[in-house]
Amino acid sequence: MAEERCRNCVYFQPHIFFPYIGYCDANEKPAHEHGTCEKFKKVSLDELLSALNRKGGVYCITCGVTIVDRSELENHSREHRVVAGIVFDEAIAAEARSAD
Amino acid sequence: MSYSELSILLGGPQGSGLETAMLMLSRALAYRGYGVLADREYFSNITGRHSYVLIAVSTRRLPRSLTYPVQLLVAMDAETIFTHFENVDVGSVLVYDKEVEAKKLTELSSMEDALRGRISNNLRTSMLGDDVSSLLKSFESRRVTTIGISYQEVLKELVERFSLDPRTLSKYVSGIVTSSAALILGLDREALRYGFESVFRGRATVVEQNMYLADLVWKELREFEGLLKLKKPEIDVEKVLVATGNDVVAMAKVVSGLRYQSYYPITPAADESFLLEKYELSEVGGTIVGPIVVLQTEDEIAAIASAIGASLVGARSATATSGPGFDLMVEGVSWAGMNEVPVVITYYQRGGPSTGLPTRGSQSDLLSSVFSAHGEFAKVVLSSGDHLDVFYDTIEAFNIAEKYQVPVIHLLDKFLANSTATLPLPDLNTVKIDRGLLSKGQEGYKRFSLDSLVSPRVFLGTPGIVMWYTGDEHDELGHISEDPVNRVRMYSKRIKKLQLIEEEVPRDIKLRVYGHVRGDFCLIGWGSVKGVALDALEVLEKKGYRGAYIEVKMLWPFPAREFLEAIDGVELKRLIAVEHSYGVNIVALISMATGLVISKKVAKFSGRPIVLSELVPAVENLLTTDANYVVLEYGE
Repeated sequence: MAEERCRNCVYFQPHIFFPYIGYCDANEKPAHEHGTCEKFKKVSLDELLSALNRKGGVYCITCGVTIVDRSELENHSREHRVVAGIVFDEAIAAEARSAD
Repeated sequence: MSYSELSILLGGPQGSGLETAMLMLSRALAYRGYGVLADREYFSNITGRHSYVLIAVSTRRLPRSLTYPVQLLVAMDAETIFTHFENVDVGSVLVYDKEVEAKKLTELSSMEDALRGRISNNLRTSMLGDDVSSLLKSFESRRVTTIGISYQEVLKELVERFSLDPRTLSKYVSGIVTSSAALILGLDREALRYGFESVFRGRATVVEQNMYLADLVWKELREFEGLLKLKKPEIDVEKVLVATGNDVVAMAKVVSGLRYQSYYPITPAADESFLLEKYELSEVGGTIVGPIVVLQTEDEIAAIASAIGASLVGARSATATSGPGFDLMVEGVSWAGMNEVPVVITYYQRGGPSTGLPTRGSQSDLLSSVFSAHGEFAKVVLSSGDHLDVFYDTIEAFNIAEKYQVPVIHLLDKFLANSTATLPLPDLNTVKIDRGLLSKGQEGYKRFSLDSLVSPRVFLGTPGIVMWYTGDEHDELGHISEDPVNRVRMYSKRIKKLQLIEEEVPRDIKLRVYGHVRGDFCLIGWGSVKGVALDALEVLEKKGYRGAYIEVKMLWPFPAREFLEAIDGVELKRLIAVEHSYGVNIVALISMATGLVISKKVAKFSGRPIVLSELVPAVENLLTTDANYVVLEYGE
């Protein structure tokens, strides 16, 4: 059974590049993957499906891709780490050059 | 032990702070008087793929070239270690994130399969496991000091201490990279602070947070302080600029009196226009001396067309683009040729054909730019060898354009555009602005007067003066004319300007000779080849080969007379052409202009820069064997 740590919590949105740190949707503050709290809610396929329906996409940390449909989600969630949301770094625009 | 010169590689996911780390470290090093040249290699996707910065640091001079192996590798992630473990020198230093030790090659989702396959084969051949810890163990036999630091722990402490928004993390990861590199190189805290302040200008809190982070890193890595200590700098330059080629072009355009710049965003050209946009209003001593209008047009056709329009009304006018954009501009170039419009096209080459390698370097558009556009007319193609030359040549491009009323293509490339260099402050006292033959006009003004090859120019919109511009052949007034006699005279007038340019442009702008021409060999090249070629001369001289480098700066009209004078008495077999292309196309241009056929060539078309460590053996190979063509391939 997954530990009751932020890493396994549906409210934890990891940073896109450094997924050990992120943002807690429930507590509305920065969080660390090893953190714990009473609001812990385990990531499950149902929770991810709900997020997919609600937001139009979830994110596979393992592959670094956005998932936008149910079958993709089912495939990824079998062996990969899929999260309901991701924190994009604000410096991406400055750091990643246009490459048309 | 201390070092005079070092190669450093910083690597990590694109968008994660690598660019910032490069800038902070470069500026901290420059602040203490070191010379820096840093090339950024990045993928054309938006974020996440492996990027790296290869940096040359020197205590003795402003570096001109990059080389492998590296003495310091700072890795943000496992992919950097896998990708670059073979680039690391014996006795070097690796700083890495402890958390990635268990990471396997197969787990790197952002790595291209082809590279993964090559690395996997290399690991098998070397009997190494496919995880980071196996690589770390293998470094022991190469006397590499591996320094693990938990990025996670450092960031966690920082986030908790300052309640940081995780969306800003990359600002601090770049701080870890910069702080650890600075510590190992023996840079002091004040220099590091300068690096932070210069990048996070006006954001004192971010600077303080990064200094706090630096203290955490330095505390953790204290025992490694000065492990690759740099010697005291001896560079005799009072002040330096730390800038990319894009930045330098933008600065030079401001100095040259640019009033209009158009662009459609394209790599690696767009950064120049982005910088110009920041300075649209130029202020000198509290007075606005005139706005630079920077316009992002709907495409490159509009970009060249609007730049031509701005030029006709009297503005110093330019556009900036890359290969695919230039292809769209060529009809406009032809129109500018027909109408004798002075306009500058700053052309940053990248890997083609088509979209090709959008973020990788190339010099493969030489012939495409020289022979671009239909019909025959005078145009000039100018190249620059380094950042300082870029400054002066940008201004010269405008002067030539306006003096001879021709389009000028300033042919640069990605290596110059995106590399950050320390360069001496340009001497503005030597800068001259030549706007050419201007007139206020008079009754019966003939814009295309046949009295001289260059007709006095009146700006469109001058009160009381009427002129006509058309893409069709025209008479002296500009009216369409298909008369054969007029055609011959007008057509000849435009083309004969090439002779005038050949006669009048100073030799130093056309061609430069470095080293001993009548030695063992003579390298020939243009553009960004200059730095690595000059450094190769020095290394080869120590190996017993005396040589020269002939830099062709004005590529069209080709300075045939000066070239032939330069190589007078040199055996053809001693000439070696070097270029970032498959065909080494300068050879074709030389052959066309002089009749000489150079058979020895060094080519590189992998999209990565030519590095000193590969050019030297390539030249040696050509000098000592029957080989005529060497292809360089080093670099991931």
